[in-house]
Amino acid sequence: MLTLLKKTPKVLTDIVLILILAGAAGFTVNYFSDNGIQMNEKNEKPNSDLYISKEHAIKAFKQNKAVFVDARYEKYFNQSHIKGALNIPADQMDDKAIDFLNSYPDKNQLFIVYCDGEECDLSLKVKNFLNELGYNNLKILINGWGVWQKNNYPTDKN
Amino acid sequence: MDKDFKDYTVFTARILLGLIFTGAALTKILDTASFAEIIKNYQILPEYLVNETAVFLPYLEYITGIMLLSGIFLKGAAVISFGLLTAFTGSLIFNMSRGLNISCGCFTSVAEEVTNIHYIYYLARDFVFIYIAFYFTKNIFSKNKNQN
Repeated sequence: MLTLLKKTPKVLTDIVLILILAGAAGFTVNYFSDNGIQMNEKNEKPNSDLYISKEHAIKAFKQNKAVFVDARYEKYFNQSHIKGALNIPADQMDDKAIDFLNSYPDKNQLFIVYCDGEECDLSLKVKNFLNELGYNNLKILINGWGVWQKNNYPTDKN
Repeated sequence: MDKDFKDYTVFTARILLGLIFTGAALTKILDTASFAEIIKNYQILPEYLVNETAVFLPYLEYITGIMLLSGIFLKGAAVISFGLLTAFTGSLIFNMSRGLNISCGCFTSVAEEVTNIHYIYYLARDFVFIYIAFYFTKNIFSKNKNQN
């Protein structure tokens, strides 16, 4: 083993050591950190109870039965968003928690969370966060912002 | 080239690279979730590798930077720095060529809107960094060869 190590070019042992150090540091810190992220995060499948169709979303919007939650970053929300929506950017969720809890004491209120693009998972993160705050009537509108713009539904600017 | 002058430029290249790598890593380490989002936007890695990469890559940059600054494991750090910069630039060019409008995420973990001017700036900057890394790597290997 030692002979093998001696025969290996120094550059290779350096690289392997740096890779091991980086891996050990990264995954250990991530595991213990409050800001750590989940490994192998599985996306929940469409058509489950978690998602709401475009038709149901616009119906809830017109009847004022849902609060729309925009999960995009603040800058994009300020440019334009679904009319009446509030912004909980996925990168500032913790900062918004207390205000949100005070503003919406009813844990059965319907919230429709959205972001931009079919692949966008910010809304899933925000939905999971609201779940942790105790809200239990949460739906995701996939590609909500895209759907809204495409159909010329009402929008707002800050 | 005067030997002392060359030693000086190689040293400067090493310190510059070290600062670039530690600096670039810090914001990503502090906000892993947003960095994961940027990696995802690049649409190059399969989804199951996105979070792992978001955790691993900033620390690889950081430790490479620290090694460059401190002068430990220098050969490995030189090769990794050159390899990483080439890979970052390659993926930027790849996404430019397929018309994806993505945030570079080079020195920040905040996704920002990018235009063609941004892309040109990112690329110009990356090529300068690659040149510094290439210059340093080439010299650190030839220096050791001469010593042997």
